[in-house]
This record gives sequence, C-alpha cells and structure tokens, in this order.
Amino acid sequence: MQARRLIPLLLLLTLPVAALAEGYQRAPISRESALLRSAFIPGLGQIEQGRTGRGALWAGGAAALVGGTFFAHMEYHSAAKDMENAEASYRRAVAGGQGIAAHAQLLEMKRLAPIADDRYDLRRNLEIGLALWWAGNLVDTWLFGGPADSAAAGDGAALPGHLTPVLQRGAAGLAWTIAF
Amino acid sequence: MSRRMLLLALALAGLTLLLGSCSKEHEDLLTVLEGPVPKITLAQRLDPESVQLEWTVPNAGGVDEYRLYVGLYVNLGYAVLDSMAFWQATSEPELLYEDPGLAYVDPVLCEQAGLCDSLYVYTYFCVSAVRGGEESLLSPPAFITP
Repeated sequence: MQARRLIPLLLLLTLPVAALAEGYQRAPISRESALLRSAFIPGLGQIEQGRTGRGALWAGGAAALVGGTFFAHMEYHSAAKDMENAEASYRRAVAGGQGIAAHAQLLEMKRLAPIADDRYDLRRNLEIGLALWWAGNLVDTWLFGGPADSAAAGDGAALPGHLTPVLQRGAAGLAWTIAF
Repeated sequence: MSRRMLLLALALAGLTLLLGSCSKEHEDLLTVLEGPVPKITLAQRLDPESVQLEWTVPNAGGVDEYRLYVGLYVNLGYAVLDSMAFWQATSEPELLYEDPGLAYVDPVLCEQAGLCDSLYVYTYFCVSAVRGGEESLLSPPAFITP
C-alpha cells in the first residue's frame, strides 16, 4: 500500500531530471573537476570528459581489484582468526598443564603462520595494485582529458545541482521503469 | 591549494593510515612465534630414578634463567591423561633430574607386563627460556630415551 503512494512521488522527482537529460549536451569539464571525480570513483572523470570506453576500463579494473582485495582480506582474516584461536588454545593448554596438547597447538600455529603470511602478502599486493591503478587513473584523467583551464571549461555547471550525465541516465532509466 | 586538492590529499592520507594499521595487526599476529625457543637435545635415563637433561637455545647470552617442566602422558586407549607442572628454574643449559617416581613410568615395565598394546605411559620434559621477565614458548616435549 505504501509502495503505491511512493510511485507518484518518485515520478515527480525523477521525471523532471529525465526530461532534462533528454536535451542534455555534455558540458566541458575542467581537469581539476574530473580529477576529483576520478579520485573518488576511478573512471568517472574520464566518463565526464567524454572518454566513456576508457572510463569504463578504469572503473572495471578498479572494481575487479577492489573485489579481489576484499576476497583476499576475508581469506587473510580467516587465517588470522585460526591463528589467534590456536594461540589461545596453546595458552590454555600451558595454563592447564597439558604439555603435549600445548605442543600440538604450537605446531598448528607454525602450520598456520605461513598461510596467514601468504594471504597477507596477496592482500598487500592487491592493495598496491589498486593504489597504482588508482594513481594511473588520476594521471590519465589529468594528462589526457579536456581543457586545463577551469574557468574556460565552465566547471561542468551546465545543469543545476551538478548532476552528472551518468546520474541523469540512471534517473531517466528509473523514471521510465516506474512509468512502464 | 584548492579545496578539492585538499580533499584528495585527505583521502590519500586516510588510505595510507588504513594500510599502515593492517600491517601492524599482521606483525602482532606473528610476534608470538618469534624469539628463540629452547630445544632439549638430551633426556637420557642414567638409572631408574634419574635422567640427564641438556638443551640448547639460540642466542643463549641474553637468557636470565631456564624453566624446566615435567609432564606425564598416559594413554589408556579410551582416555588420555596429560599433566605437566613446573619443576625448577636453572641458569645452566643442563640438569640432572632425580625422582623416585620415575621408576614407575619406565616403558620397559609396560613391555614386561604385556600391556603396551593398550597402555602408554611416558614422562616428558619441556624447557622455556626467560629473558627480561618474558618467558619464551615451551620447547617441544622430550621423552626419556633409555
């Protein structure tokens, strides 16, 4: 019931934006503006500069690296947790006077340590790769994109609220979906 | 510097701090396995009531004292008893362990009784090294050799 009430509201909000998007001409964007956008979302600056393919490449690469880093982090976290549990069991066994059990836990810790180390290295390498990718994306935005002068470029303020074409397309799509 | 560049620099600084904290966490995790751990090189029975023990430790110079632990491991087949206790501290890397109770945990006795298929009784020893008040991990347990 509440969802039905929301539909007209959403239409009211999105249709004007979609209407604006229909007649939208990409405004030139300054390098500084594009750089800032690329800093927060790799590839967005390039898309704003009209280099959609390259922007998508930077964004896709960054997304893959973020996903890989997150996966490696979860794997590392799991190994680190196992290691902490083994250490806690070792301490408990020593405190409880169980030398053989303590030794078994020590062997387990020694088995887990290189695994945790390897996973940490993988995560670190992915983080470095992500940082390099991010930096490369910034360099690409700065060196190969649009005009250098912000004043001449108009700073992308052709539309109210500094809405990006990407957001507008999204809003248009949402409006059409709701209307349909 | 423009406000945008300042924002960018702040984001970069935050990322660096985040990566730095992860690195510290990992170093702490592995610290427990660092540091020299003693290893018992000799646990030889001299007579039914005494055992000669010797051990080594890397960088023995900084060791304040060694702590010797004695344990009893009994496997009854359906139950296991593992009990270890601190015995004594010494500054030398060797010790003559004398205990009348040792005569009752000689594996030869179990062989003589024909119980070795289902009953295992062992005495074992562990040593740790203390440096500046910090006790190292225990050495691997050493069982008595005849």
